[in-house]
Amino acid sequence: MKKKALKFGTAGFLFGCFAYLLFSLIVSLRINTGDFYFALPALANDYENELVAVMIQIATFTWFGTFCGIAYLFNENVAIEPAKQSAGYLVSLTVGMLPLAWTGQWFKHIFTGLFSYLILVAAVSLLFFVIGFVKLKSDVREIKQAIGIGEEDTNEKS
Amino acid sequence: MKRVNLSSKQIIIWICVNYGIFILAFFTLGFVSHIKSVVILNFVLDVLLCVVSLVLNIRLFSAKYKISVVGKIGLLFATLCFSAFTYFAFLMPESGFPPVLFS
Repeated sequence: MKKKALKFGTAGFLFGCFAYLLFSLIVSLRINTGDFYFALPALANDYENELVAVMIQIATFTWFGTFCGIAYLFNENVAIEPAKQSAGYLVSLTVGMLPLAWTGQWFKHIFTGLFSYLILVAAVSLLFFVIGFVKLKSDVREIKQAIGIGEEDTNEKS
Repeated sequence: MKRVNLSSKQIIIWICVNYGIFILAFFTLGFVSHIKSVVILNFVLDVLLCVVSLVLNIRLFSAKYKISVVGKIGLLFATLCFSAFTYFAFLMPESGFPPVLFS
């Protein structure tokens, strides 16, 4: 379990790096001044130091990504009972969002914070659900091909 | 009263239909928000849709439905998002002004 958590956490960390890059790219395109913004301008203003703001933003994304990976592990592990699985999943995501809450000042504006939390959990869960669904479909297709069901269907059609 | 037995697929479809009606009704009725009765109708419809979705979500958490935990949690949190949005749009006082429903 620990080995798997490390594996999924590392994958999540890398995914967090990619998400950070994508987010910075979208922000830069949205601001549209020709510069690449490594950190949100508002965050750089808050900390009065762009380097600190960049480090905080990268840490936020990678931390969230790591815990998303661990949450995915809880989703995949059907051996544990559903209640514990759900609790583990939600706790992982919530812990992953703590730096985000601190950086985004969710505690100052409780309703906005709560709304952001709900949206993020729903979005991440639905993303995992779609990933799981696609994975299941491809597994079923592979099994069908292995036992030759798919081949018979294609032969009948042709 | 006979209890309707729905499969997990049917429940998910109904929840998605509820979300669709919610979005459609909110923005369609929102265009005539200057009429008080329409605002009340919009609010009642949104609350009703959220309650029905929440009941379906709770039923989906039953052990007999073999869908993944993330699907169940994702749909539940999506419903909670819609509920929070209803509260935000109709019941939350903003910048010293009374909520839209009581103005």
